[in-house]
Amino acid sequence: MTEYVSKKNNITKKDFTKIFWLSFLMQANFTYMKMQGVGFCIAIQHVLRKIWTDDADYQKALQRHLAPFNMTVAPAPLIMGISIAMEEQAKEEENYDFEAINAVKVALMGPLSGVGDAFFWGIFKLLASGLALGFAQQGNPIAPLVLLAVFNIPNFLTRWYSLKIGYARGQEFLGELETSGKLQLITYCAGILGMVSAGCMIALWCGVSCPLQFEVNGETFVIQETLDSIFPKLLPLVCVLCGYSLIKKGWSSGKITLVLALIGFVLGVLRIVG
Amino acid sequence: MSFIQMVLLAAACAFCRMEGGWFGECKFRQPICTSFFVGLILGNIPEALKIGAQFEMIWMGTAGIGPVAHLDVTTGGFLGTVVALVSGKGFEAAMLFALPASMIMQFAESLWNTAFGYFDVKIDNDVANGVYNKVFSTFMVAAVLRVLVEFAVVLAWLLAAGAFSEAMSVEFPAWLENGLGGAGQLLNSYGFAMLLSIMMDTELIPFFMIGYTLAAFAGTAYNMIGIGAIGLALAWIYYIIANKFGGKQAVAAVADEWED
Repeated sequence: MTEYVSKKNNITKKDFTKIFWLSFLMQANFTYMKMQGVGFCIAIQHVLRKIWTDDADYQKALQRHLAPFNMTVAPAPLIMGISIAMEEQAKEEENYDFEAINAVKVALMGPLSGVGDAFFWGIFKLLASGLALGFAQQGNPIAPLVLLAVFNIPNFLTRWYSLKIGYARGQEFLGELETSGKLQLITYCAGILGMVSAGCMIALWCGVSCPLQFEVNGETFVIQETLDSIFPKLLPLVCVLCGYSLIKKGWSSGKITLVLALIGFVLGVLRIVG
Repeated sequence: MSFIQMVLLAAACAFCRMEGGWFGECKFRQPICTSFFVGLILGNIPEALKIGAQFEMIWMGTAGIGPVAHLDVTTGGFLGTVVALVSGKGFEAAMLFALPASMIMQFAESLWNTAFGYFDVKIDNDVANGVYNKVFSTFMVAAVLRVLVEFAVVLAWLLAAGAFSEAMSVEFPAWLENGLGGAGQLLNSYGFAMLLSIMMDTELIPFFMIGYTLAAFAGTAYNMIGIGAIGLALAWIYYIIANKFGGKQAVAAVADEWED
């Protein structure tokens, strides 16, 4: 028995499962021309064919969805779901404004990437790396599994449910989230969790220390011990903030890497850092 | 490295690079994962993972946000781990090779992002001429080609890495060891600075302070999970309060930072 998502256009649950899997391929040929545009189109192409049985209509639909597209990949199926819902609506209604479909896509890319980046780069990737790091430092082969599992459980769930939600009630859902300010609020709250984790990780794992020591009246005076008694892990914080200010100054990452490597090398030779 | 090992390594590296395109950014790219493959092929998983952990830290903040090419931590970390294992010199030697490699590969990526636009044009033309069934196949041809290019380039890099490792396997003088150690520490902190730069907002500083101070003073009494739970609680509290009293204006400006 076939389960239908949309009976009138003969769209089955299987079609949606196919979109889900194809959505992983979205960046397989990422280019500066269309970015993820073609990847987006191939994921929903089979459904577009079902909606637009007439060749001329189908051609226009393909051209619509071949437009340049770029966003955080995990929640992208939400926009795929919305696009399909809109294409179906376009078929039903006469005088439908086709421009609206791409307008909605473009309008949603920004805010959705905002939330997506906050969660996927700011939280899930951070947690995945952080939890796996302890195992990796001990040389435990479970480390990559931990990393992949922590990141990919949310990754898979987001793709599947965002596709379903996007199709069923995507536009209202997002519209409501945005006008009520909830989307920003959720992004901000993700930022809170991300920043607490970032602070914790810097203190736990950023290893900058000072090996300098002096002999004063026969007693050894170790600088690092004094620093620790004032504020443990102060040096890592200072170094991170210096790096941060260079980034904010707009230096390129290559330049910063070179400059820091040189300064670090000199300080290391002088035994001030190491 | 034997020739078979080199081919296997290049294949494994190309596989890890595919994650962004073929497997929806599932994070095979992280050095902890790439180093596992290096260890598997060169027969020393624990040592490889320890090197991978250090690369993971110096690149903690690299994020693939926005449509530009990013520091290629996949190839960089992979080659670095190879150098570390083959030369037996540890992370400092690995870094010396991996940092330039990751930057050069970032540049190469932007070249390919431009060149492979050829296939986008071809697809556009096909559709305009009524050829609809070639969109997927053309896209996949491009995708497979990219993997092959990656494979070939990594193979070339491995030859260089082999020669580099041999040159590295001499005894280092103490000052050089110290210097490389210092450079490693500062670069480690730069990784975290990048992490801050993608999330930082003035209004979020207090939360950063909470996480930092807890971990700095309590040290290993707390781990990531404990502090993560506190962070979650704080975010939750903020959400409840903002929901009750309307936090829309307060947060609207902040959210813009993320959009790109």
